[in-house]
Amino acid sequence: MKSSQFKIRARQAVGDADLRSKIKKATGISLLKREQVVSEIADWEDLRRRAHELRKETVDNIDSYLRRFIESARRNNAIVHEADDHKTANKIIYDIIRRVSAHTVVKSKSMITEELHLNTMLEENGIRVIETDLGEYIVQLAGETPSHITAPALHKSKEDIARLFHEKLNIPYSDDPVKLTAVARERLRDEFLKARVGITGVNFATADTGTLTIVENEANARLCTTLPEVHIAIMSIEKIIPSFDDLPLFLKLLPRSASGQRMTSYVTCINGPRSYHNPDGPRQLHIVILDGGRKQLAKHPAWKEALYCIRCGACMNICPIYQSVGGHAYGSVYPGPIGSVITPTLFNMKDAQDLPFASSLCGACTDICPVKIDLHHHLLFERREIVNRGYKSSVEKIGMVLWRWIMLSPGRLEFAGRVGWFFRKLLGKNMPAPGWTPHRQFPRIPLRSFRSIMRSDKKHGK
Amino acid sequence: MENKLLYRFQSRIQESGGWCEISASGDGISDILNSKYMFEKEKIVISGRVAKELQLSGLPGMCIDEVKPNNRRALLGEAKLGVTFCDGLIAETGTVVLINHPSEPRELSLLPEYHVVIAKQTQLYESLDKCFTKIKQLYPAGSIPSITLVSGPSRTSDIEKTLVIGVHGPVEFGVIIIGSR
Repeated sequence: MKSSQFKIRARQAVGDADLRSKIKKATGISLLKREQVVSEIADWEDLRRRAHELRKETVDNIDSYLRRFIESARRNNAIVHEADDHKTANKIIYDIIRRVSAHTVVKSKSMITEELHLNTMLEENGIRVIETDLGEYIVQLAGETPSHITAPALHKSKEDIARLFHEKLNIPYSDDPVKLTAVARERLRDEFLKARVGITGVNFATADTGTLTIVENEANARLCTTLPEVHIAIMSIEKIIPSFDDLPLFLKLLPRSASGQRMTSYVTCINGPRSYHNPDGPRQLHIVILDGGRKQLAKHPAWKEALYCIRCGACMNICPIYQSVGGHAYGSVYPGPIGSVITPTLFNMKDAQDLPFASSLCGACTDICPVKIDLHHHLLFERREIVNRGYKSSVEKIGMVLWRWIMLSPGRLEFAGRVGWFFRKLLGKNMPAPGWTPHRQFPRIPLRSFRSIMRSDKKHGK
Repeated sequence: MENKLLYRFQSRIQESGGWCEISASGDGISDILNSKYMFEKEKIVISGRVAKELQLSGLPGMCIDEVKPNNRRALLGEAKLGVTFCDGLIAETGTVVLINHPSEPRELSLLPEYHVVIAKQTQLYESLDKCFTKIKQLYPAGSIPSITLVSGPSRTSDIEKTLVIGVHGPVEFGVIIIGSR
């Protein structure tokens, strides 16, 4: 799937009334719950500002924070691996699994592993990967990819899931979420007890104490980080925050923004493998840190803000475009407004050139972002970059030059209005405007412009 | 002040699907447990810290310290109820702070179907900031054990945003606070 086919997939998604109603319902519930728990915090704006400053501080000094985090993690007896690119990260992870001769790994939800296409790589090498987050388990059974960063199966109805479980797990058809969840619990508990390697992502990594923090509701990440002998935690460099003292701030922002909870059911702060200080848990803790173009992006004066993201998904829920097309249309691991900012800047601007245009620039994403990323302005600036790189057609360019020429003179604007009125009158409802009229009617243009009404009113002394 | 925190903690826990009871003294705890759970003694496993740090003995169930480390996982996998102590209660969010401890392994609050925490009213903090500051004072850098924050039973909303309680972790979560209203 490529982000270069956004328009095609968006058109399909918009035409799928069933999909749209599922997405509308799910995002609506998320927004309502968020509003309830955010409104009770009097200094929410202050918290956002502080979080923004901390994210900026970290990204601006990423090399030094990275060094400090690695030192702290090693002091905690973690084995730290640095990977410059995706391929290297995948090889490191595969080698760790092979060294302990494991054939199965249990895995909790992690966007970075989606970015790495880790499951595909491991499965091609004969290693069974079991997604244990319920939403991810559903998506994996269906052979699909997540459509939302915190609610991966948001695009599926309970009937879809009932049919899927009935077919793939050989159980009687039931669309009761309680029953479906119980089936997943039973199937996966066995896997947890047998697995020798657990893979997780990381929500926050503190530079001063080397603590890995994982936020979740189901307890599958707790099982992945407690039962297997080996835990592999995979993170990208921007997961680092300066200090353990900053964790409470981010733990106040993330669950409220992501799932509308004051706190998720579980937050695990890992300070190393089994040791004198940590009497239980895995014997080995590997931390794989991916750069994947981020150090380069951190140097860009504006787009470095894309690295401030804490992956709450609130910008997706509030986005009128996401609500209409869903996550798959974006064709990127990261959908929605933040995805449209990250995908062109971190991966490939040419392939993802449609994404910055998938926005009404209403700014709702910027207002909701818990770390105050100026999302809609970045989308606007990316549009300029895409034009400057010459990815847009020459017809569009000529059109814009003409538009500018008209807008620069009141007389030309008025004349253009008359020409528009003439053609609208002549062609009626069939007046063509590419990209617009196939779905909507061209609006009526009044004969007398606002300008001419003003002029005659003035003359008559009104 | 403490009463206000206690009240807030209690309502937060209840809002996230857990229960919270207040016991005037340690003596009432057995009664609360017995009134809620009718499991055989072997199905209830109790943290060693409950006896050592809370000086509570005679609770229904067996102490984890009496079980060899190698047998613990099998025992806990079959257990119905895990009873732990804790290292802090956060009123703002209804959160229990559990610090990894030899007599209170992580699996004890994870594998059994039910998890009950016994705490003291004096362990209440207004917010997580204050509790973390305290933890940093207690443990020098580089020796903080792993920490688990629990704010309710295991849950998911992955199917049509319908809340389902009890996915991979405990299906029920409760807190008994020794103190007074």
